[in-house]
Amino acid sequence: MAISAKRWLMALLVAAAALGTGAGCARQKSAADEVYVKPGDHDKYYAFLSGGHSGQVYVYGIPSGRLLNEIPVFSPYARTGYGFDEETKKMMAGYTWGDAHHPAISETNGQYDGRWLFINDMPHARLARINLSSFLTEEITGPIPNVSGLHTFLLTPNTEYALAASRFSAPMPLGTYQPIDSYAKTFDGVIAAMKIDPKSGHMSLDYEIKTPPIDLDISAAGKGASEGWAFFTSYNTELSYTDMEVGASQHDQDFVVAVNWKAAAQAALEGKYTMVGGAKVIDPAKTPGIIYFLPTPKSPHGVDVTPDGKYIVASSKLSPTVTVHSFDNMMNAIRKKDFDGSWRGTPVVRYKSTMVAEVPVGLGPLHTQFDDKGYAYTTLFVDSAVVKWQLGSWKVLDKIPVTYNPGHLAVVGGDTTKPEGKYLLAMNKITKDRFLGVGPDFPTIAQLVDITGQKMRLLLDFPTMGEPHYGQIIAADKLKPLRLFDLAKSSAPGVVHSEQEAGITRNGNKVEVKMVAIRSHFKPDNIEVNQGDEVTFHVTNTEQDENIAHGFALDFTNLDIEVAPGETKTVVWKADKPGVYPFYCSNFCSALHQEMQGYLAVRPRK
Amino acid sequence: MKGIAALTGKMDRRERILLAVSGLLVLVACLIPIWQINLLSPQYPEGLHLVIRAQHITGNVQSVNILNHYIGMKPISDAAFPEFGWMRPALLTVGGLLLLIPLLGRRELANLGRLLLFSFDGYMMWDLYRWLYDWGHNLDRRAPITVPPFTPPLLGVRQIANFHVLSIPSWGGSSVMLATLLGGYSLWHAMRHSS
Repeated sequence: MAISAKRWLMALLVAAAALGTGAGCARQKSAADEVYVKPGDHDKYYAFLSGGHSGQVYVYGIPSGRLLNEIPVFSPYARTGYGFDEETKKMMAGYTWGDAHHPAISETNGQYDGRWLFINDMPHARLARINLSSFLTEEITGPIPNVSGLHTFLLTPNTEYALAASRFSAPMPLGTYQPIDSYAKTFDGVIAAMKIDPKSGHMSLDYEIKTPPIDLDISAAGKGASEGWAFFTSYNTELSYTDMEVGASQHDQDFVVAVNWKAAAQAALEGKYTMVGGAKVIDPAKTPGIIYFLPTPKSPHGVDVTPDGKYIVASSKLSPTVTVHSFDNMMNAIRKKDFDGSWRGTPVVRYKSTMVAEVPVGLGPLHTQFDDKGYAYTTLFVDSAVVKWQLGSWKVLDKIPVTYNPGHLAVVGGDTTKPEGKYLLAMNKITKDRFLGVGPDFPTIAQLVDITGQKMRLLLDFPTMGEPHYGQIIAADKLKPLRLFDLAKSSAPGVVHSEQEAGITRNGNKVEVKMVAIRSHFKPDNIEVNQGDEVTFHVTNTEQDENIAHGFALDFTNLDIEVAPGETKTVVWKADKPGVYPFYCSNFCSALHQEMQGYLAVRPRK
Repeated sequence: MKGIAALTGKMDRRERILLAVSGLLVLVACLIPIWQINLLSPQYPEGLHLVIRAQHITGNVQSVNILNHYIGMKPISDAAFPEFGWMRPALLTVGGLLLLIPLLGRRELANLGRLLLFSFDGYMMWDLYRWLYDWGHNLDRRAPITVPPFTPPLLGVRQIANFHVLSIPSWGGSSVMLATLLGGYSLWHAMRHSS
């Protein structure tokens, strides 16, 4: 009897276990089901990933990982004629590339408002603004005076400012010669505050803060509790200027630079600056209360502020830890002048006073994101992994391998005060064996990770274009993409609203062609000019039917533009050589697309 | 004969109300879309729409014209249809008379009013058909795509090349149709209730 009772109990346990497992399986969808977006359905999120030295921004659908669009920013883009027409040529100001690093969606009250995406060009110290309705680059500003190597910038929680910093200090104003070995004495860094117009998004330089010639690396805006502050990591407190991989790695601690940008704005208002290179430069050694140094181990790279704004998390590239500073502790220490002396006129806040944890995450920590449940996720470049740890207990809970060498990672709403703990996107530098070979230049790779459970789960690999350094993920319903341009409201230079208005006018040797492109013809389609004329084409696509774009390509001239419905683009061409130049619609538009062509004849000079 | 008696005499209360409502329904059509033609095709799953109102045609007129020009169809525009010049005054006149007649209360006038309403209705339908025939038959012979002449549907559905064309009365057209039914019903009522 006893035996059979035991058996009975065993059977019950086995059955319960089987049921439990079964229920577990039913609860969790397969990775394929999680990322499959069936034909005709839409993704739930947009991911905007920077394209690094491609100079562009790439738009992906999440969770499918489908590439939806390439937004040209710092490099010309023949597909749309970006950098070919007069307006975008003027915006690019002669540059044909940029190194696009850290995209940031504009914020209102610490939330992505979906109005604009800002992105920096490191080598030319420029910032660009993309309109998230048209998905077009609307503004490029810079080079910003005195900023050299604009590797990092941040947006404040109400998009009041973009704060951009120098990674490569240089003698100021830029253009000044100083011998390189006078680095420690004659080189300076700056943090530039670009004021952003709340209506138009237009950026203009307000003030700059001078820093010692350390390499300001990554930044994060204070928010919530720490709103009004900004944090920049730095390396090279050694002030090394040659053989830097060794020279800049000597100190056990470098700094997180804490910036009170509101105090700095006030100081600028009060005239506490000197003009350098056309910028109001505040010297924090002369105006205290603007910046403080928080000692942080071993060349910290990423710095991230927790959603509540209470902690500043810095990833020490050369130490297997992330360092957590408490904002409250920092403020207390500043109040009590609990300093470990000062360096170059800036107070160094005592490490033990601000540091609340050194979390042993693993090798090569670079960047951290947070979810809405009090967990943090840090990429480990050297370990090729993402590690999950808990705020408060500072315990490491889970680690998932990623392939390979992750740089940044992004969660939905990553920079906001309300991140969404659903997905994490690891942007990895090395792809190796993950895709079919495409030659020795490998694509980069992003990996989508499910972070809803206790354990992280890899869902999807997808190739990325250029080299993404950071991304922004936003719920699709926060954006209202434009479907076409309203022709009736257009006042673009040279716009025509109907075929009757199209035509050719001559003024001396300047010829202006107001051209209509509509299915399936150009008007005018026969144009005669004289050798030496400067010909301006204003091409208007007068269609008001969405998705019907026309191209205008003028053979043998290196000119091509794409014109969306209701849009007008202008190109200028010097008719130097006589002959007959065909032009045609370069964007397949209709059943009679092939016939959408014309001729430009250039009469030889007599 | 009761039926003959309905031609003369005084209108009763119900007949007056019916005719007045019918007049109102005709007047309403001045203000709202009267007819609509929807075109669906594989690449226009959301459809292209033409909306005929008393004084103009609206909707995706330009897009439809762009497509139509490939088969040599004349462009649709307000100027192409003289009806847009007189349709509103005509609706106002017919509707106004139908409202006025119950005040005067004479069956002779009521019958004239009904006759006017029925002929107006009939004429408008014939007129629409005539234009549809004209637009589908007088195609430019030099057009890039040659299609056999056709008549778009007056009422209902027809497949024309890649387009599924649906032609139906909109609120205004329905309103006039209802007015016509009420006009007919008022006559039937008058025939049953005349001394």
